Amino acid sequence: MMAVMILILITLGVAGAVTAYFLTSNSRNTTSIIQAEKYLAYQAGEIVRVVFYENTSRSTLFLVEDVGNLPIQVSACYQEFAGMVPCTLTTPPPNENPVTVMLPGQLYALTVNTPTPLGVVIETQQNVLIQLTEDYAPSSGTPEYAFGTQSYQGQSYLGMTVAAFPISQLNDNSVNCGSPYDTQGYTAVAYVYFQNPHPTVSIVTDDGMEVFYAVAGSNSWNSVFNGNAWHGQGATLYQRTLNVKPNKEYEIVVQWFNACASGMSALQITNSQLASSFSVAAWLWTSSSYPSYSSVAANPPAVPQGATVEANGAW
Amino acid sequence: MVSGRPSGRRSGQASLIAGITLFLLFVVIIASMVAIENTHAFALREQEAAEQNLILEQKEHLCVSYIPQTSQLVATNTGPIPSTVTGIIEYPQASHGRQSTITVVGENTIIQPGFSYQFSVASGSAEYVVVTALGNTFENVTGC
Repeated sequence: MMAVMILILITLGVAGAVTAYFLTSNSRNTTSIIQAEKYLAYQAGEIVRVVFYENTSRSTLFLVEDVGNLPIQVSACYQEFAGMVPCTLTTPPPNENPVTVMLPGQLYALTVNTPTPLGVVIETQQNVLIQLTEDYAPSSGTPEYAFGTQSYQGQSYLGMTVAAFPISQLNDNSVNCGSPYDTQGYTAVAYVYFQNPHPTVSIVTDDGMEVFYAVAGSNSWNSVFNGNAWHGQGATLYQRTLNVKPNKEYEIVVQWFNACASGMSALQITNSQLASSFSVAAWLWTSSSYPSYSSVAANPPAVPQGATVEANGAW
Repeated sequence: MVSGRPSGRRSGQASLIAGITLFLLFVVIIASMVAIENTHAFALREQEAAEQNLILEQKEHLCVSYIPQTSQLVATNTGPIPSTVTGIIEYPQASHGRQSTITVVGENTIIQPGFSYQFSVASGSAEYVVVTALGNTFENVTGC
């Protein structure tokens, strides 16, 4: 009898231990397999298309559509180099009521606090990353270019031959010199690494131009020429040597305008390497002869407040 | 003879407990397999839908034109698949010195292949963009 009791107890003990072990280990495996499969499903089914976007002075409005068959809840927005950027999801303009979930087949407005639309990624509640716009084009070489309207094309500045602006709107060779004004301009943003603590920035401009730089993501801007090149003029050379930290990523912004007749813009930065191409917004300014320097310096990466964006491009 | 009865009963109890334990194990295993299978099917279904979506997206084509006299936007389905229009973006004329603002009108209209549909829109916009449920956009300013 004692032997049977011991046998029963041993059986119960072993069975209990086996069950407990199986339940815990199997439960863990099952949970992880299910989580992995769920993630794959969300990754495949959460599809967003950008149907339209436009820059404002400080942000970019993306009109987005959920074209998958799963609702999407945006938990964060990111931009290449800048990291996390604030964003808000609303119904489309003109109503723009805040919403938390994108439903399939519906249009929404996602306003992201970045003046440049490239390299924007959203993260969903299921930790899926969805890329809205392409990354900055990978690029190498030094930040240098020379573009101008027709009368400047073929001439040589900073050792480069002036070519037509890649954005056609900027090639107006006879900008109206008086009221009503039709000043042309561009805002170009790129990322660079300096290989030397003292690179030299050279510009040749007709009319005004300014270069700003900041450690990538810091939003702490420095002006290279302090507005000295920001006025109406024929092609004029400006040069300045910077004090920077080598092998650290910097964001550089070039602002340029042509307020009268023909125009050109050349840039050359020594001892530096491009980490991206220049993301460029071409704009039109009509309310006075050209935007004030203070308005441009207030928020360097944005198009001047009050300008109308005519085209976006890259070079 | 008499002392053999209790031993046999306890042995039976042990077998019963072992049986119940095995049955519970079996239920747990089956439930786990069903749960995994369901989520796997969910993942496969989403992947197939995404692939299908991509194929349809490339096939879809609408021809859009604006009639200024009646402020109507005519969308003709020139593709091989039905199109569901989910919205129309009205892009205003560029105004000097002022940031432009767009207006989006929500729609839910299915246009069968070869058929047209007329949308009433606000007049005077520089550009009208028709958005479909597949994420495609068709503008009135581009050729068909």
